[in-house]
Amino acid sequence: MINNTDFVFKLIRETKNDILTWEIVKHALELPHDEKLTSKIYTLEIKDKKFRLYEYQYKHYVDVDEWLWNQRKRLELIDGDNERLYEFEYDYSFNDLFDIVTKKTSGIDDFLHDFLSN
Amino acid sequence: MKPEVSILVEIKSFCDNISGVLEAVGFILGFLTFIGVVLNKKEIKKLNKKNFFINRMPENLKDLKSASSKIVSLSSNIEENKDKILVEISILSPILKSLKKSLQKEDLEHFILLNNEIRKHKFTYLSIDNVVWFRRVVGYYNLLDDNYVRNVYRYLTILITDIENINKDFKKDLGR
Repeated sequence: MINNTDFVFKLIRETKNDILTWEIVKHALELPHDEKLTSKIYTLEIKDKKFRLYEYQYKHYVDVDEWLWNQRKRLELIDGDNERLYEFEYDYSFNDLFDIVTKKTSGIDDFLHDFLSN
Repeated sequence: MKPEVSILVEIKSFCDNISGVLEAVGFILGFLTFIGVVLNKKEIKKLNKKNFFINRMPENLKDLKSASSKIVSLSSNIEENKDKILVEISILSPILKSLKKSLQKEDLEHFILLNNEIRKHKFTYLSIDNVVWFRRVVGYYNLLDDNYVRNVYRYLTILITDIENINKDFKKDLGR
């Protein structure tokens, strides 16, 4: 049975091996009122399908009027107008994916390679 | 019958009745004490798990997350990193042992799946050439391949997600 984690596992490996390239985009993103975007928005195209990954903050209510801010990553399938078509059910592998995507898009590896080799 | 004898008979019959009642009361008290001990043991076990959850869980969770990140990173080149991946998988074994003390029975479903995969590390080989002949004959070996690493990663991340959710519910309970 194929599940989300298998898909994310492949995304991580192919991102790390530079087979897949993510882009940082600046399109508008509407989130529910108790959610806040806390990262850049990353998109990826595979076989005419567009995926979007970002980190957001949400209120986790511990009582009627008491909440804690929690952070999560979200992975979605989007259309050409950047509207969400499908949201992948969260699991922890999104964090590993987010870490590798931020590292790759930041260009820190190339910088460190150049800096340390001079 | 003499009046003294009849009084003695009545006293004896009264004493018999009282002793019967006391015996029944004693039995009920003994039974209730037994129930109390069983319930207390359950409550102590629950408190112990809560204690482990508060004190050990954050450390366990941190270790699991670190292992998950290392395993998936090393898996980008499985052939070259087989020995390192096997070390990371074997490191999970003591973490799971410690983690089990914090989890309730109903939270163990994915824990068991991961634990079963991790246990295989004791007879996991980097290549078929390393497997001794008698193991090959009985088929009692596991190879560190793409499939094995993916299974470990899948169950590991699902377990971490479970613990994150339990943790949130626990904070909710504390809030009440």
